[in-house]
Amino acid sequence: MVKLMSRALLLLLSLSLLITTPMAARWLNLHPAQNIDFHPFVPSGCEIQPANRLVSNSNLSDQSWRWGYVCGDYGIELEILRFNTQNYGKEATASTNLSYHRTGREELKRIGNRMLMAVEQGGEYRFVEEWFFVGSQMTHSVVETKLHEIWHMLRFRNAAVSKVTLVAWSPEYSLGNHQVDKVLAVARKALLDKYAAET
Amino acid sequence: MEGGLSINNLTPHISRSSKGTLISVLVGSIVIGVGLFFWSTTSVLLSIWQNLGYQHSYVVPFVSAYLLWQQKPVLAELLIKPSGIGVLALTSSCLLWFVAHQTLIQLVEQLSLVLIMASAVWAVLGFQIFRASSFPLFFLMLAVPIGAELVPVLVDITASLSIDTLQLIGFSVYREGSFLIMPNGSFHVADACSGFKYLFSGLTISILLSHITFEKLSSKIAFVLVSIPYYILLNSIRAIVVIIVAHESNMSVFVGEEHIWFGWLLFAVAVYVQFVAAHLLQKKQF
Repeated sequence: MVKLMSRALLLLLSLSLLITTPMAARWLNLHPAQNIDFHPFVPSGCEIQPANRLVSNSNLSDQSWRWGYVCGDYGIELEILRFNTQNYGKEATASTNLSYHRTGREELKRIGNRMLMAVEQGGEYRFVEEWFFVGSQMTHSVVETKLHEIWHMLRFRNAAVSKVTLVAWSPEYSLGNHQVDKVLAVARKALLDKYAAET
Repeated sequence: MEGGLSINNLTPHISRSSKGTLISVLVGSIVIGVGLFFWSTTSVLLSIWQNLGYQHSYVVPFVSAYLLWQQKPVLAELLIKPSGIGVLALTSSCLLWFVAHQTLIQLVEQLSLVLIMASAVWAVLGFQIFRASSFPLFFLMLAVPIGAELVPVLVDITASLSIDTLQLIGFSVYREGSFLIMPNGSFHVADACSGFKYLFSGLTISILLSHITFEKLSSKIAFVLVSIPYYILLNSIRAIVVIIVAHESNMSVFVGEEHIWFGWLLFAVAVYVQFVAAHLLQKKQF
């Protein structure tokens, strides 16, 4: 009888664990959408622009951040969809959208064939990606495809990523994986120098 | 067989075959039940399979169910004995899932879902049944989307092997990143061409094949390990053939959908070769 009761107790414990764990997770929910703060990197000398001034046909959902900045005639916008267990995967194809303004295909060729991206988590840069392009391949769609790729990779590394920074493009420097801060500074300067040279 | 909750005790006239069926169904029900209880994770898994190139993962639960079904004769001999240690394992798995869920580390969350399924079987049906059904249960791990970080590495390997081979056989080709430029046109080794699907679908098949073919653990491990370079190399061969055919046809063949169909045809041939190899190795008691 005691044995039977102890087994019934074990079954009850198992069942209650299976029921209460997801319930507790829903109840506690540490990551409601409004709690994640997103601070875009803005090169000094540039100003943040409302996204709707930069993009007219953007297909954005409520759970996305849009930011952009302009440096004179340059305009760069990065759109990031917040991903969590609810929208993860479902909206994968719309996760990033990078737009360029004035800098069409020819302009991008002149800027260079290298693009960098860094991700900040908890104040530290955790991941950096660098892409190379053949000059003639540096089109909007290629860059956008690359952004999709990197975003998908980030999802598998750690879904808690809350900030992505588009750094700059420049052919003049190379990236050392452990020198991200230095690279960021160089990238900032490269972008501004480029802007200064063109104006 | 004392001390257990035998199905014989509950239903004295049940046949041995039916007992095995009943226990298999119980294990399957627990797995499905956990999947439903933790729907927030299961639904994410389903959408990743659909949207991010893990379509082969759809097959995994069915294979797992089949493998469990095959265990019926073994399961029929076992007793249902709810386990206290199993409950502890279940508690740990739930805790791991909870932490991963709250910190949004989805890979750990998804892996812990499989651990919860396995430990729930242990807790409710006992260690013997858990052990007998452990391969089908842990085979579900292969349905967890993993390895996307390898895509750039695989792209690089494919591009490197392709350009080396093409130059070796006399083609004029220049590489810049993942682009291969030839006189008649340029080729992009995109993510879809990385061989990621080849590798992970192939690994899933290899693990299954090694389990049903070989007795010795060392043989199983060796067979799976060899399949990794096999599928990576296969993808490079695919890329090289596509490039040569497209180039020689002045970019009129293998530049559209047909190169994808060719890829899957090649994959089917490669899987067949692997089956034959496994069969031959089994005969030699590898």
